[in-house]
Amino acid sequence: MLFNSIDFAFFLPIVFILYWFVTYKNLRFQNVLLLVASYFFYACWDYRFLFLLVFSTFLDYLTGLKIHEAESRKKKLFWLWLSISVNLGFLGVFKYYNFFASSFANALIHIGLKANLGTINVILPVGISFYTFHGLSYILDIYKNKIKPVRDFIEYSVFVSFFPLLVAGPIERATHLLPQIQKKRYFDYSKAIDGLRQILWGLFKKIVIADNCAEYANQIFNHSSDYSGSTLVLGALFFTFQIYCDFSGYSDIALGTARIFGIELLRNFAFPYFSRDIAEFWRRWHISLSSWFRDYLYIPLGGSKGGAWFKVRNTLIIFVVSGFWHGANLTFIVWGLLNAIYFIPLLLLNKNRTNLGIIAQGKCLPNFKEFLQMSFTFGITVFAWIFFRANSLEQAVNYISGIFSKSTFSIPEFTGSENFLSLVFLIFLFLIIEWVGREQQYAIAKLGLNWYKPIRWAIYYSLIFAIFYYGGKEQQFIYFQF
Amino acid sequence: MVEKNNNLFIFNFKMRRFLIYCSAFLGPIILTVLGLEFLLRNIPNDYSFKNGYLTKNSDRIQTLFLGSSHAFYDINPEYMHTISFNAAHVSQTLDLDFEILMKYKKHFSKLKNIVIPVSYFSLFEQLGKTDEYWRLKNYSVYYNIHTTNKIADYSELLSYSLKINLSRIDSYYFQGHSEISCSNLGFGLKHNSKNNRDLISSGPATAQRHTYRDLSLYNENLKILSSIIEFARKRNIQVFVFTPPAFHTYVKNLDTNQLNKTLSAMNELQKKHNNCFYFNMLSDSVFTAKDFYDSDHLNEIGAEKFTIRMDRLINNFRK
Repeated sequence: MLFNSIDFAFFLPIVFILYWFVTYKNLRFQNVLLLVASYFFYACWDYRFLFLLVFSTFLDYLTGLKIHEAESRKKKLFWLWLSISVNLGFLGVFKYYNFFASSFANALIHIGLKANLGTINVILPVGISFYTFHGLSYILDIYKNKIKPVRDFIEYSVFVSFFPLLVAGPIERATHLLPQIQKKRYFDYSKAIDGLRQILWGLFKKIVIADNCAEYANQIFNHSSDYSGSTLVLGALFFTFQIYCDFSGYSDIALGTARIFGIELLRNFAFPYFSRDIAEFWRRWHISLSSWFRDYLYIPLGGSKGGAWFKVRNTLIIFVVSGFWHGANLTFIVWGLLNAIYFIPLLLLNKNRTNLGIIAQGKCLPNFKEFLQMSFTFGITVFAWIFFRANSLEQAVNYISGIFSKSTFSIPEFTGSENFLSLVFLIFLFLIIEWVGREQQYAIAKLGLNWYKPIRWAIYYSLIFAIFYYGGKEQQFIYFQF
Repeated sequence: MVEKNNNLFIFNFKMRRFLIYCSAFLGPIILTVLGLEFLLRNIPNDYSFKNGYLTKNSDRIQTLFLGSSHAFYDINPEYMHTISFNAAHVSQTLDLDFEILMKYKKHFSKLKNIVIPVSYFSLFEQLGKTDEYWRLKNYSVYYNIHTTNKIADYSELLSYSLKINLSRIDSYYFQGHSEISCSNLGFGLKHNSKNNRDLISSGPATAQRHTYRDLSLYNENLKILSSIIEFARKRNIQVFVFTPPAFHTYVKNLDTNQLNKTLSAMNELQKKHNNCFYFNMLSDSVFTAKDFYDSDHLNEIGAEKFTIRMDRLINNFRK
């Protein structure tokens, strides 16, 4: 079931009514309801993979208890590695087996040997990367004595499978989400309204901006050899807005939905395209994944404590693994590597924590320096997205060579069409709203809250009108494939 | 106890406020949505027309044409000697042909012939699994045929963007333009020879679009076709299956494996069922460039020629 489908528009109120009216008086009933709703939500996509989710949940629940109960370190380590290897084993088989098998076979061909390891024809279970990381964070926290294991299987299952975050995050931490599942939740009017507002903004980003940008980005990337350099630039820009609005739109809907049920999820995006350097960008983009890698990979590797080479090595590992997490394709690895290359100079010059605050805080516009920094960071991000979007490294290289050609100075195609102009206008409007709301949790969190109610409602109705006006076909979210 | 009652009171108060707010906000939207849905459903279209025709006249029909655009645009029942009706629609697949047949099965008292195209792609697709899946709503809304459990497939408004829907409302209610694009006997009128497309360039692209990597629906579709033939046999109805004519730029670019699978399956089917007759007209030399609208559809000139031929074939087999 997609967040942007009409089925979800029916599913959500039904669960809401059962949650607040039928099971309100009993926390356990509420959790059972959330679990059943979450499994139903997942089964709507493909019920066959539900067993994998249940198995993974049970494994982590059990190993969590075993790690806690084990008396010796050796035993703790055994249960920890059992959980890690089974979880990553599933991920490896479903997501990476074909990539490794074909890469290995190709490598052997280069040294004159032939091997046929075969490939498996299996679809990637949706959300596997997300719920695997969920479970791993729980196990690792228990191992590090940060938390105690949960005894109630239902509570733990809701932590892993809570439907708003099940298929594309945010990647939650047990320390943050589990206490909310374990204690009684009270209906909060203002939070529920805020949740609805965030859902509305998420839908606008996904249906109006991302899906419309996707039409141009797909057309240009899929036929990149047919287009001029200037059109290719346009294609990269459209993809830049598509991926941001698609993924952050999803996160907004997830956070808003959870808030309606009295649960706060981790923030996943904080206006990343207004970043002044790439370090700031990574503190603002897919925050739950970046912090996951920081806490469970970068810090255990030694973090930034060692010498320069040590820092560079750890940074490279983090970015390459992050790239690889997105998919079994060299394009993602190069995307990660490229971001590491952007990041390392800041790290070596100790400037990676220069821009911690919000750009132009309390001001209307950025100063000239901030504007230049922001434009530069945006530019190199757009460049890196080309690798992320391309189907192969070869296509990415050709795409970039197309951009650096004489035709870059020609007038791009599509610019005359009415659809193109209206999309550019919408992106421009969207950027203004994002800029104005950049000090809030999401762009329209406080927009018009002190205004006369009919005006505020008119804004919401306009967003809904735009969603219906540009909607139609339900488009899948990009991050479902990861 | 007092605290518990207080909590409940606060909950009731906040929840009531929330529900009132939501109802006040969503009320106008729901009313608008219902109003628009009503307006859209009342725009006459090919589906509502054909459903209406079949409801009224299925007991008169002697020859029924089913299938995709390859029947919709290629067969004009006007040139048939029997009372005929073209119940084909663009992108209609075998599973939906079967459903339409089943819907009116009790009323086809005079039906003698069923004619179905099995094109190069027919055995490998079902509408719900193609990019054209949004057309499914036409069957649930107008034919009352339910093959999907997606809510959007039961609504006109939710199947297109509001942008398109508003222009449809404007076009019908304010400009007076009809959405019906077929004749009184169900023949598609849009493929006029005055607007023929480029036959050379459209061929390879269309052939590629019709070529499937995933052939997993083959057995299921074959089973559906067999069920249609079996249904007909029990009622002494003959089934004429044909592979429609196409221009050489299309035919040359077809995948041999996919094509051979179709042709051999059809020959097998003909052997197996004595009420089934198969004609492969894919490369029929009778049809020249002027008969084609595009590389895989005939125009009205070609359709006339093709229908007359089909009529003769049916008559010959009947004799």
